[in-house]
Amino acid sequence: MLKQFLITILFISSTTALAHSPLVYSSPKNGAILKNTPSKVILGFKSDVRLTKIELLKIDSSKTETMLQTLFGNNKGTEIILEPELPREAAKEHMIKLPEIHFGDYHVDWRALSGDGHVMKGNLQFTISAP
Amino acid sequence: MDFWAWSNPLFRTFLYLSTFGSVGIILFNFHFARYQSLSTSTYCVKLLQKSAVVGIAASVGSLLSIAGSMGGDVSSAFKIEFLKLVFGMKSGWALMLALVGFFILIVFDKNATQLRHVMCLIGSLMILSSFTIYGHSTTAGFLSQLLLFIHLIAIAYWLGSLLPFRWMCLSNDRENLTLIALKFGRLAITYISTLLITGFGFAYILLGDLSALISTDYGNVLLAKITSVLILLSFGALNKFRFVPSIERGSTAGIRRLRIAINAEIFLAITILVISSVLTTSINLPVVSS
Repeated sequence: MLKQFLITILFISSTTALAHSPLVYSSPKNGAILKNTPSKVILGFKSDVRLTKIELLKIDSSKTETMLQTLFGNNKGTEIILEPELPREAAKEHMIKLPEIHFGDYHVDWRALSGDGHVMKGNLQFTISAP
Repeated sequence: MDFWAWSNPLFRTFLYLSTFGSVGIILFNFHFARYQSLSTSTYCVKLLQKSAVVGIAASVGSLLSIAGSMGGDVSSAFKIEFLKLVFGMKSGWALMLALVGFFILIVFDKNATQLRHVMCLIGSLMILSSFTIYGHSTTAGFLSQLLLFIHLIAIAYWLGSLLPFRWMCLSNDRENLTLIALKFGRLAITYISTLLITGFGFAYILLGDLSALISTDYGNVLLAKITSVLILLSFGALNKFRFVPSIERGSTAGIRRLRIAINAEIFLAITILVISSVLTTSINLPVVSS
């Protein structure tokens, strides 16, 4: 009974990936290929949210994720340290300054707290093409 | 999928299980205490205590998992700035309310005085209210909150009785089992009707339109829940109209069949609670056009 219960929970919980991604716009756009290095990332939401996490990774295609890494967080690349003060005050738009980054593929993970107390999450990717 | 994506509905499932386990046992005792054998009565006391302990663990786990999901990694659950945010939110207050309610049940259930009944009532009200003060239940204000509150009482009556009935089947307590099952069945007509009316009313308020059952993620998962509830109802009807009369006539096979049906009901009930947990923690409501 316990085994069936745990399997059911894990199966149904896998639907959670479809929830909550109310990002209206972003800069850079998801999937953008840029010629110039961006100096900031802008995230725009439907309503006021408090940004609780922002993470920038330079994707390293040679890295592979183990099952545990997939479960506890991604390890797709090298983290680039951002220094925003989190959590931020509620706002529809959040701007995060970027340090100097070079050509390559980048992945941004964000999390935010909505007005009704739901934690939302999402990500976007962009590429800076080689000069 | 990260750790917090599945721990939130997992903790919520245990919160539901402990709520219906503890409040359900209190209701079961309220209606049937005088018909219970000493062994069943002792079993109910232990079950209530265990449910309340699980409730406390699930409440604390839920509080930490909200904080954890804000940062994404495991250490975020213990970050002061995230915990401060959690305690500033209605969901944080609701979990604290449930936590205190479970504590009251543990402390006062062993007390043999009249105060025990009053405190168990207060504890139960606190636990049930905690589900109505935030999230989807506040969509249509007081009406949706009231519907959910009554809905939860009816669920507690039904689900809280499953384990005591299973215990009576296992201990071959035929005389008390028959008596309680017959009385349970009579009261169940009122409770189950209430459960269905409030459940459908609440769902209609949340969805705004029946077509949303098909066209939205929330509606699809709700449809799966409704289907499971209907199967569970069929088992309930089988118990009431086939197995309990058979036990009353003295059939030993009737007790065995009732136990198997109860096991199936327990499995289905857990499935429904898992679906409900996903609905309340992980899926957005459809936008209702006004």
